[in-house]
Amino acid sequence: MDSVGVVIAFYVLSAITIVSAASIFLLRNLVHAIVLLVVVFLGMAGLFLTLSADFIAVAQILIYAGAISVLFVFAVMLTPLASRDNGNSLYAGPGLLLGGAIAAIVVVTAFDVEWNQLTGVALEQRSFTDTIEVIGNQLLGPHVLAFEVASVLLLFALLGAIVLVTDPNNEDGTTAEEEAGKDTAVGGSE
Amino acid sequence: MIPDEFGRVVILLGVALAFPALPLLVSYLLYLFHIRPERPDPIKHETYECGVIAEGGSWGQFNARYYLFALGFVIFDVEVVFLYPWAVIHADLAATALVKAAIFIGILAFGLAYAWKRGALEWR
Repeated sequence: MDSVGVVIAFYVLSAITIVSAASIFLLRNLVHAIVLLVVVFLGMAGLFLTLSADFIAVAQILIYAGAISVLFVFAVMLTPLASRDNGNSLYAGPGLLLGGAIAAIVVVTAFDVEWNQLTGVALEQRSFTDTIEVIGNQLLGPHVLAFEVASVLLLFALLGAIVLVTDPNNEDGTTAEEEAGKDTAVGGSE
Repeated sequence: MIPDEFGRVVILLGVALAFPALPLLVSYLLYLFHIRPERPDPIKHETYECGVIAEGGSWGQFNARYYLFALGFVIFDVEVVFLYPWAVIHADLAATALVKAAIFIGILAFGLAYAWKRGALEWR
């Protein structure tokens, strides 16, 4: 029976995720924080696996651990203050309020929702089926509009990036250009 | 309950962690038993950049144009995740599923064509 393994995996993955998430706040080096963020994403992917959500777990690795973390790295690379640590937190107060509010919502939801949809024998007899066919049928059936609107959302993200990058009025300063040129000269030899 | 197959992922994880750790461990053991010589050199600790001597730190501010490539990667990565469920079930569905996916890809292809036309994909 795999339940013992699942319980062990749940606690190990939870410990990895929580310790990494707490370390992100304590670390002063932004790049180290991003690496730990990837560990958090991977731990959450493992937690999704213990919940039998195989597609979500793989999507979590692909999107969050693979792509979103790259965006974080780029955000640090493009920021002028990237050479400093994250010591000057201007929005500590509002951030604490917002984080506390979100945490309160999550806690209230966790206690309010009736999680035990299946109990006893029904839970034991339930067998694992991969979720991807169900997701596909839902995505192309009742939720096809959301499926297409997601494409529009991605389109606007792409257009926004193009506008951000190619706007001729937004070329502030040549120092960034020169530095970037040097970076490409070094990196271009690969 | 998840099947035992996912338990094998843990074995894969162990192998993946051991694979880079093992050479370091073997190297350290060889050093402990004085089989491997220890001759530190500043040049050995330089960052390897394809034989080119690295200039300055890696903490400088990079060009904002890199961001388009990062975001483009994220966008098409998300597109793949959306198309994967479609690819699994499309054989069982009618031709309308093909049209739905074609609309999805078409909207994003429009964005890619626009980026191409504006020259955003070229490095200037």
